[in-house]
Amino acid sequence: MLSSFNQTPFLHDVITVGSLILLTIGLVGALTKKNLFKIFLSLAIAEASLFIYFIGMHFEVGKVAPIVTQEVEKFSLNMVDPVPQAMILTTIVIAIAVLSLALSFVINYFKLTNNMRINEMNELGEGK
Amino acid sequence: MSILYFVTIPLLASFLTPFFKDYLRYISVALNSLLLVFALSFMGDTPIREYISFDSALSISFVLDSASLFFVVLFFLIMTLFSLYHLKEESRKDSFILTNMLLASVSGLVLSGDIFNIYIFFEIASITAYILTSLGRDKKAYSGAIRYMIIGSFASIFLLIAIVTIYLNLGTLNLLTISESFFTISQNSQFLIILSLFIGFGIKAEIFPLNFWVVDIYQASSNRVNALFSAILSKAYIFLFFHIAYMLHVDTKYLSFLAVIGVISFAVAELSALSSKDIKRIFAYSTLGQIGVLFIALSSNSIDVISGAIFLIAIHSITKLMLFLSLDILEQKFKSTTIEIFKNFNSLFLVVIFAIGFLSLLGLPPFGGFIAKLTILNGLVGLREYLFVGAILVISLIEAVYFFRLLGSTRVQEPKEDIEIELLPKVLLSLMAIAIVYFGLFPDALLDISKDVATTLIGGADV
Repeated sequence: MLSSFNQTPFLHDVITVGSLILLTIGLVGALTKKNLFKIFLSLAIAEASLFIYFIGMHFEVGKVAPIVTQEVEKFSLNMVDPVPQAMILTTIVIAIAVLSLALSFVINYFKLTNNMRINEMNELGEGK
Repeated sequence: MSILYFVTIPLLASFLTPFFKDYLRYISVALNSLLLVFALSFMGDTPIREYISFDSALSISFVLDSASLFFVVLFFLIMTLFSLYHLKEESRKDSFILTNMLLASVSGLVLSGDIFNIYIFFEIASITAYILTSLGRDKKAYSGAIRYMIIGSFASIFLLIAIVTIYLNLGTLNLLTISESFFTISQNSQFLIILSLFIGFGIKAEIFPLNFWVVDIYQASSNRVNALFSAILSKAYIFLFFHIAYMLHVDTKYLSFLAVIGVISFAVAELSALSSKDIKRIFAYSTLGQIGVLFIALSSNSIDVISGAIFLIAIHSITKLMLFLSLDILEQKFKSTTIEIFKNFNSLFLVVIFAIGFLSLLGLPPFGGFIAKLTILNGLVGLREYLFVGAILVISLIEAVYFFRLLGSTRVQEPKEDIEIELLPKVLLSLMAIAIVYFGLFPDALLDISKDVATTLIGGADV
């Protein structure tokens, strides 16, 4: 019975539902939270859900990671599509850079104003 | 010569910054003018397609057609003027690095023929723009940068959703292949892709209702940064928006939706500008209004109208560069950008510059903006889109109200302060003003180029 859980379509369904839930958590969090740290954390969660979805949808039972090793050549194993992995690796690096830049802005802003809540950021606007 | 140099040379220059020491401003002028000449040398050789890497399915492609060449030339021209403007000032390492990164990323955006590469250049351009916004290092600047980052992260998430959906359906990232097989995707996925692309690029192209953040960002950044945002960055995203829309052969119902959104964008921006008391914000609203006009024109799917839009892009970039740099002179004197400062300065030169800029933005003869709006309106009449013609004319009247109010306030008899302008800025600002008048009087050469660009833009996939 357990073997039916180890089928590619079932796993893809789990990944789709799971990453949709994560995406919702991220987007809702980013829209409703007031603390700047929590907003950027929510955005990071939303991005992570896409990484999981993209890699997960290209996972298939019985295939190995796309790294050419001696074992792969010896047993002529099938590999999953390498493009998503390369893409997501690049995207993760960009996401880390953006997140660290965002946090540095938040820290600098906090040092100047002692404020970290987005609804109290009133430096900009008409007549300011 | 490879078209990759448009991306790699500015990037390399920003990595080599520490070696240039105090010569940064000279290097910057030399580099930008060299790249401008280099870009001009490609005229007549288009289209060019270059591949990096191993396998045709996975290779990264760069495409230089007459449309992307036009934008590359425009960006390098603006950057050359911008760096010449700074020639007499102290070299600044941070602005050298950031302007070069901006240049590399916008050239990458318009040249890339691969949607994932577009995403990477999109992120580089965004990161650069965030840091440029925060350069003031006060609470205003950081507040603006944080807002920009939050909204920018939404844009990149939606762009990523589109890319992931495209790859899952088609198994390719090459724009040309996507364009050929986009119709094979199911209707629901097509809608998801188009919606995500609209949100992702729409936020960056500053279109209603995704542009509520733009004016605050302009207020937070310095005038010089705003000049770059308005003249280069938003233009690159608008090109990309419509390049991809025409590549995907999206349904005409989506295009007419974009035109309606353009009208709303134009109306909302000009009405908000009426009640604004800050010149930076007024200029930002005016940029948003022009983007509305561009959306009406570019979504028309007709070569005549789109060539007017391309003409408008060129003129508007030069005009906004000129206006923001002139405003910068005023801000340095008065330390403020409220509309009150227009009553307090005494400089005929600046008044003339502002007048030329405003009248060209309004589309009055004999300035470049007139020819652009005339071409757009003529084309729209030819298409029997009288509603859009009427909308553009009526909303331009609102625009006239606040521009003439600003110009009128320079005539107010109040104690005035003399403004000293150095020779170099004076020469450069006059050059830009002369260019605007010149293209208003002798538009034929630029109109021919615009027509060529428009043909390539619509024909997108055929190249």
